[in-house]
Amino acid sequence: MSSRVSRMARNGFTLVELLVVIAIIGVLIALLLPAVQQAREAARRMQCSNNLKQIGLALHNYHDTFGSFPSGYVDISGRTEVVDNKGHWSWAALTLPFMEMGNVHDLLNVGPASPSNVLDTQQAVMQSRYAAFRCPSDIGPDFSSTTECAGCCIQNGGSTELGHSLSNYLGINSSALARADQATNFNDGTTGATGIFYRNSDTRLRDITDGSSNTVMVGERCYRINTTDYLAGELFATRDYNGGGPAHRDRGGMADQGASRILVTTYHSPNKIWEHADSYPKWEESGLSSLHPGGVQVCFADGSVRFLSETTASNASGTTDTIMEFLGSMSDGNVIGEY
Amino acid sequence: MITTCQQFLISHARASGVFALVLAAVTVGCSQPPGPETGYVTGVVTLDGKPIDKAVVTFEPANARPSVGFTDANGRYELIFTASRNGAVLGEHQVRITSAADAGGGEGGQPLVAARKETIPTKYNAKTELTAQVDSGSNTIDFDLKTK
Repeated sequence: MSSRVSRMARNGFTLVELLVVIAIIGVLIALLLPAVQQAREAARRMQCSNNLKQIGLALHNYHDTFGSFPSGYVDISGRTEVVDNKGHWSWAALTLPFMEMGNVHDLLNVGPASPSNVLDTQQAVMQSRYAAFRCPSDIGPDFSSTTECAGCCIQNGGSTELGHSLSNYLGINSSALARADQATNFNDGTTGATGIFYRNSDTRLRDITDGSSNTVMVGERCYRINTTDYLAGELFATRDYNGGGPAHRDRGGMADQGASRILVTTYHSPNKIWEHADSYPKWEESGLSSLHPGGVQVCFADGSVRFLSETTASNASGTTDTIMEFLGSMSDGNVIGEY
Repeated sequence: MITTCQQFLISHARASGVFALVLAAVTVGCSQPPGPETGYVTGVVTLDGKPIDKAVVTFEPANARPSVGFTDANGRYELIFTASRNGAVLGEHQVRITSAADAGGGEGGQPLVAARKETIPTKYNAKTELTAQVDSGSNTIDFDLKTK
């Protein structure tokens, strides 16, 4: 026996020892593999949070320059060239010069021109992909498709329906469903928009009495999760509804167009699920959503970017009484607590 | 006849046992889904005894994400928590059951999806009085709604 042991020591490993080592290495690789797969998503999430941070900084620079945050959208329905199905400029179009996208801002002539007339001459610019406004995890196309939803397109100066650039980052409109005018009671989202961005808004930091670190300013919405369509949002402009400005909850209640295509609300917990069959409500106003596992990223009014878990509480009561609603409403006066 | 491998296992029986236990613990630990504990919930919704088709059932807990379910032609629903998980968080829930739906489309080449009117009294949705208790494991929660 002793001679056998000494022979083994001379000749190296036995088969059993080798098998044990291989098994241990196998287990270690099996443990490591999911982490390696997650590393790519972690990198995309980091890039996404950087995008949100840049947008937060741009909005603060806008505030420093003009004394208020940009309007949620500029309702130009009084102008003669703006009629049904034409476009209205979004908050993001106004923010372009502060995102180092001054060239795009100049080419589009944001302000003096109307989006529909610009679409005639600058169609390529209005249908490009702008990485600063796209989450790297998102699977959506460069520009919105006319076959996905009514609000996904606007008519150009003629009457051709055209999709335009998508954005994954949308301003927060309200703690209830999207509305055009500011709320009269910030504890009741059915009285109007309780958030920072709405029609022709000029919200200043001092209007955010809940504190800029307690109010969400910009959040993300992805194109699709499994079979649930969220369809992201439009970057530059949103569609007019019957010649009276973009649709919203108090006017028509068309869930797939208007204010909710450039703004988002905190009415639903992140990644809200609905049955996407024709027999069910096909269009439901979509809230925050993303392909990052477990939740979405949001930029607060102080410019900080945080992760919001999809298990965060929300309800459909209309009154501001859940964490999601506290975050969306800018002066509800409630203590948010842990989330 | 005893092979080398069997000899090894016999002489290292305790070490092998510990190794197997650690492996089992790691495997079980990884299979637990993230987030709060949920209970599976299903049931049937009827209005005056008749099953309701295409209604949306929402369970709203006090301090967590709501769960939703969609009824089929037999009024049966099954709650969904997140895209990857069924059920609802444990505890007391406020329940809303609605049959209303928003309009959509009708412009830009989209077919019009007409709005659907609410057929269920407001005491079951906007001003709900319904509550339900979700326990660990499987729950069957039926709702018999009355128009009067």
